[in-house]
Order: sequence, then C-alpha cells, then structure tokens
Amino acid sequence: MSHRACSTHSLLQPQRCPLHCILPPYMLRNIAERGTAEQQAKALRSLQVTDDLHEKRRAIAKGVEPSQARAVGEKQRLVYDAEFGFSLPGRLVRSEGGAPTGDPAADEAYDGAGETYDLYRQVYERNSIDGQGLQLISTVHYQRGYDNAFWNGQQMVYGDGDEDLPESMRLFNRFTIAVDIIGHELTHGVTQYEANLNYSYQSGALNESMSDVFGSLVKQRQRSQTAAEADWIIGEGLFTPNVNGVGIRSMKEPGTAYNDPVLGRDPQPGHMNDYVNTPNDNGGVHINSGIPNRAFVITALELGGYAWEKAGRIWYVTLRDKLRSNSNFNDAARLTFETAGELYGVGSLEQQAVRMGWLEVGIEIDGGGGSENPGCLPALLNLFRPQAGGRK
Amino acid sequence: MQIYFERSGGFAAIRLAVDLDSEDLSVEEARKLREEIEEAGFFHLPAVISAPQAAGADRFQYRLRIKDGDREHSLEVNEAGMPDSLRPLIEHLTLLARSRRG
Repeated sequence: MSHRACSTHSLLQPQRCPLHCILPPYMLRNIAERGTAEQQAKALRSLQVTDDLHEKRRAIAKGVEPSQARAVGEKQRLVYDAEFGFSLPGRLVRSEGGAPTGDPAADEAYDGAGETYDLYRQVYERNSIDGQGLQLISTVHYQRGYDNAFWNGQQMVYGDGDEDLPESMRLFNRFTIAVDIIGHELTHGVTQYEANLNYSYQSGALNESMSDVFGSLVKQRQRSQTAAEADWIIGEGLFTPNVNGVGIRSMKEPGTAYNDPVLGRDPQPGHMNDYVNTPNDNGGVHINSGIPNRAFVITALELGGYAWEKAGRIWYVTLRDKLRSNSNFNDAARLTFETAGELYGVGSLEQQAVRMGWLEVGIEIDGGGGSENPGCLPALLNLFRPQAGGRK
Repeated sequence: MQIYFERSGGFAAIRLAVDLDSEDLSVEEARKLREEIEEAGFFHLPAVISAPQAAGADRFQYRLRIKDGDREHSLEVNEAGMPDSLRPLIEHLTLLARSRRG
C-alpha cells in the first residue's frame, strides 16, 4: 500500500511525512471525510500511521514489544460481588480463564460479557469497549432489592431484582438472566468511547437504541438466529411469572412487551407520530428508543439473513465513525444511509433497506441514493484507482 | 408529614411512585423516616442534584416532595450524583414503594 513508505520509519528517527503526527486525529478524520480526493487519501494514510504510532507508544509505555501488547489485548473479564452493598467493584469472584463460581449471577455476567466481546471482536474487529482491550468489569449482587442494571462509566453493575420481597410479590428476576441486558450495558461503554451520545432526549434515545441493537445481536448470534427467526425482545425472562409480559422492550413491535395491572403498559412508541415528550427518564431515553429500534429491525428484516452481518455492521460503523454527541434521529437516519452507501454501494439494496427502515418509523431520508458526504470509503477506494478523478 | 416519592429511568424504565402520609404509617416507620430525613439534611438540599459528567447510563432518577408542618421541599436527584447521607432515605422509600406496588 502507498502508506508503506511512511509507516516503516522508526520511532527514534521519525521520517517527515506531510500531515503525519501533526494534526490531531479528529481533524484528520474531518479531512478524510470532507477534503478533496487527494487530501482524503493523505488524511487516511496519516490516520493509519497515527494509529500505528499510538500502538507503539502504548507498548513502549508498558515496556513491552508491540506484538506482546497485542497478545495481552484480548478478552479480560473480571467479575465482582458487591455482597448486597453499594461499594464498587466489590470482592473479586472470577477472572479471565477462572472456573465457574456456581453463582448463576456471577457466571452469567462472565459468560455474557464474553459473548458480547466476541460479537465486537469477531464480527466488527473491535477489541473490547475502548477498542484497545479494556478490561470488562462486572459487579453482581448490587444492593438489596435492586431492580436494575447499569453502566457507571467504567463498569457494568447488576442487581438481583426483587429477591428481598416475598415470592408472590416479586416482579423482577436477577438482571444477568438475559444476555441482551449484558450486551446492552457493555454497549453503553462502546458508545461512551465512540459517538458519546448525550444521555438525554433524542441523542439519549439513540444511545439506548444502540445498546438494545447490539444487545439483541449478541443474543441472536448466540442462538444462530436470522433476523426473521429472532424475537427481538429485550430482557426476556427478567419478569417473574407474576407479570403479564414477555420482556422489557420489543424492538420489532415497540409498546407490546408487557401490559400488566401492576406495572402498567409498555410505553414505547414505534413511530414518530407517537413520539413521547417527557422530562422523566432523561427525556424518555428508554421510551423513544423504540423508534430507532424498529428502524433497525425493519432494515434487518428487509436484508434477511443474520442481522449482525449487514444491518449490524452499518449501525456499528455509523456509531464508531459518524454519530456525534448531539446527533438526533434524523442524523442517525441520514448517517446510517450514508454508511450503507459506503459499505455496500450507493443505491445498493442495503442502502434501500436502511431508507425503508427509517421511512417505516416516519423519518424520511433526503436525497436519491447519493450522499453529500461520501465519507472515508470512496477515498480509500480511490487509493486503488489511480485514474479515478478527485471530487470537484 | 406528607411524602411523595417517584423513581424513573433505569434499564427497565418502569415508573415507581408512592404517596405517603405519616398518619397512615406505624409509629416506628414514621420515626425512622423522620430520622433519615434529618440525617440527609433534606430541607437544606438543593432542588436539583444532577449526575456528574460521564456518569454512564441506565441510572435511576428520583423526585421527592416532603411537607412536614411548615417545612416543605422538593428535590430531583440522579442516582449517580446521590449524596451518601441521602441514600438511606431513598432506599427506605424505594422499599416502601416496591412493597406497596400492586
């Protein structure tokens, strides 16, 4: 590849290459997306070299060779027990490669973090939450009667549901019971390191939707289910038999997951016409996520096959490279459409499926298949096409 | 003493709320709540306690309104920003609300 001349320089005697190591990566990314073809190509080369250098620098900081650094950057799970208190992370009960503990919560947290890591690693070539092999830390048995799971900015935390109430009154089981909940929490970490979507109103609902999307894909991949075979239910098995419901959310038919005399009805909308304006729940982040959730499901059903392969890749690349902290639903629609064009071709069936997905939830994407901003892939392809002219 | 307690957010985002009047509680329960309210310095807390930056996701949000004689105060607090002194009161009210659900 043409960047070889610059990437072979040693750390001690850096070769001068225009752009390299001078502009910060975010600026390079802007150029890679918006510059002329030549600028884009240079920026892309620089980004690759910068990534290379970052890895070498990290390796030097750790006092190991780069090849070793890669070797240790594999799956690193740690599971702790809060012993019903609120101090985090708690007492270590299982680390990577350790034998099962016999405690279902601890073992589910361990296995689910592994399934999620594997989806990101094996399908999207991402090494953990930060892309750099960050340890996957989980704490189980958090507080008493804690009917929740969360990501605290550094780790995953799971409660045991209503374990403190008499059985006839219990509504929630332990929160590790469904692998998509684990995928959901871990994905909050991925989002934090990538688009860092603000956790309120539409950007927050997108943040939530990304967690449901990849949480569900972890479950579907574990079960080898196609988009058509999947139930698209989030949190299946979390409710006890005392609740009339199949799970917490239905990505396919938002608003239908539960309808219970005690808990009320699933409040999720599946169309912009039913968008919920509320100050609660950070502006309805777990409510309006039903809209982008359904857009994803329709896209995946249109494409057929395993949802993590194409629809999942389009969403993942959009989350990684395009969404910004203040992105809204329209941005997500436009950017997933743009990504589909870059990955599978402008006007491709994949791109049309994305358009259809958003259209079904009431979000129309402007433009006829091309995009104003062709992004990185065309520039990358240009590197291999010497005759291809630059963008005017 | 009147207490209104509401919880929103969390992974399941299922609202939990309870309206309490100390007259309807056992003497012991009311005494314990008063103690927790005093320990939290509830009537002197700000009206809104937000989550710190990078506080993660799926945390609970609480709304509390307490009227006791001529003292009255409303508070909105995110779980991620909750002062330790307030935790016993919130945990107690959460348990009361969960036990009375249904």
